[in-house]
Amino acid sequence: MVVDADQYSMTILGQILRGFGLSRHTVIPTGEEAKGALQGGRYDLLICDALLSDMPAGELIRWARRHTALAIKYVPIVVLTGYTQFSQVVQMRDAGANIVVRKPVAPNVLYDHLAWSARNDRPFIETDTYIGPCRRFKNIGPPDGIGRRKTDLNGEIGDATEPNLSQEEIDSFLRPTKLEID
Amino acid sequence: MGQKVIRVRNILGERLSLPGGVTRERAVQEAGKRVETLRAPYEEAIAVEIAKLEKIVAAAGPEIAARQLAQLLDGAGRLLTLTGTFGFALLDAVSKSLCDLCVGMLEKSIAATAPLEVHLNAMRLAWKMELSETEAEEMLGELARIHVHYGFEPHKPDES
Repeated sequence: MVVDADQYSMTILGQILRGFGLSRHTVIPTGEEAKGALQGGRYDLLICDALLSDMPAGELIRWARRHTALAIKYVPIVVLTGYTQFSQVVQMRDAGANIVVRKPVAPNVLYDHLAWSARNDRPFIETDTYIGPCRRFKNIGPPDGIGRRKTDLNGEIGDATEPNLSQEEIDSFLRPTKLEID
Repeated sequence: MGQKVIRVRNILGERLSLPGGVTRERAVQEAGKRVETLRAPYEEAIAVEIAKLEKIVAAAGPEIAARQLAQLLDGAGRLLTLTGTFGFALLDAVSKSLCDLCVGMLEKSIAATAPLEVHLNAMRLAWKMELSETEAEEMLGELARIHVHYGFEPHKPDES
């Protein structure tokens, strides 16, 4: 389901989703209509604008996350923010959104965000103040080489001094081996 | 209520792991192609959206109300979707400058329409004329001076 009142954005997003092979999607202009549609059908993904014409997206997200129907409560939610609304990322995350993407949405960016979300099994957290995907994750890239523990080795790795393993040697590590235990 | 950690079905993950489908490259390429089919009508829509912004400012007279500024911001946001999607870099930069201006004016309760008119003129130029890189830089530089004059902080979307 796509919830956005901006006709251009909605059409562009529709074309992107069709390009991804998601030919069946519903486009809805307001938050209230989205609530009705969510209660009347089953949706695999909710994409909504950060600023809907009748309510902030945060309200719709909080409503979904507190719903008794599990299909609505746990639906993955992607929020699209405009140029000046990008500061709302934290608000949207705290409302329970899975991903926040900035408009205009490029196909590769949307695809990568969806694929990332699909590959990460983030658990749902329920507290008095928050219901939504676990927010305690951070992609900080590869290790910087500076260990935090005393036992971490902090030295420079440097260039290889011996030749790389051959494919045959690598295969030998992976090959099942029969062992005899005395 | 304490904290409950619930393992939920990853619907997207399940969909993605279904057999068949297309590769990322193919999906992105196909989506890009489909978006391109909108280029011609949406290029026409850009002129329409600029005209709508001009109409709001013209209707305001010398001083603009906060409600009209919000309308302007909304319209500039729509324009950004078009300029960003179809790669009109200069018009995109001018539209972002207009958005920053509207936000700054709303925050500081400034009602003068003159800086808005300058931005809209720049928008027209950026849309109608083939400006050289130097001319484009000069234009954006002049728009930036307006922001400095009013003491507006440039928008920093990536710091959020």
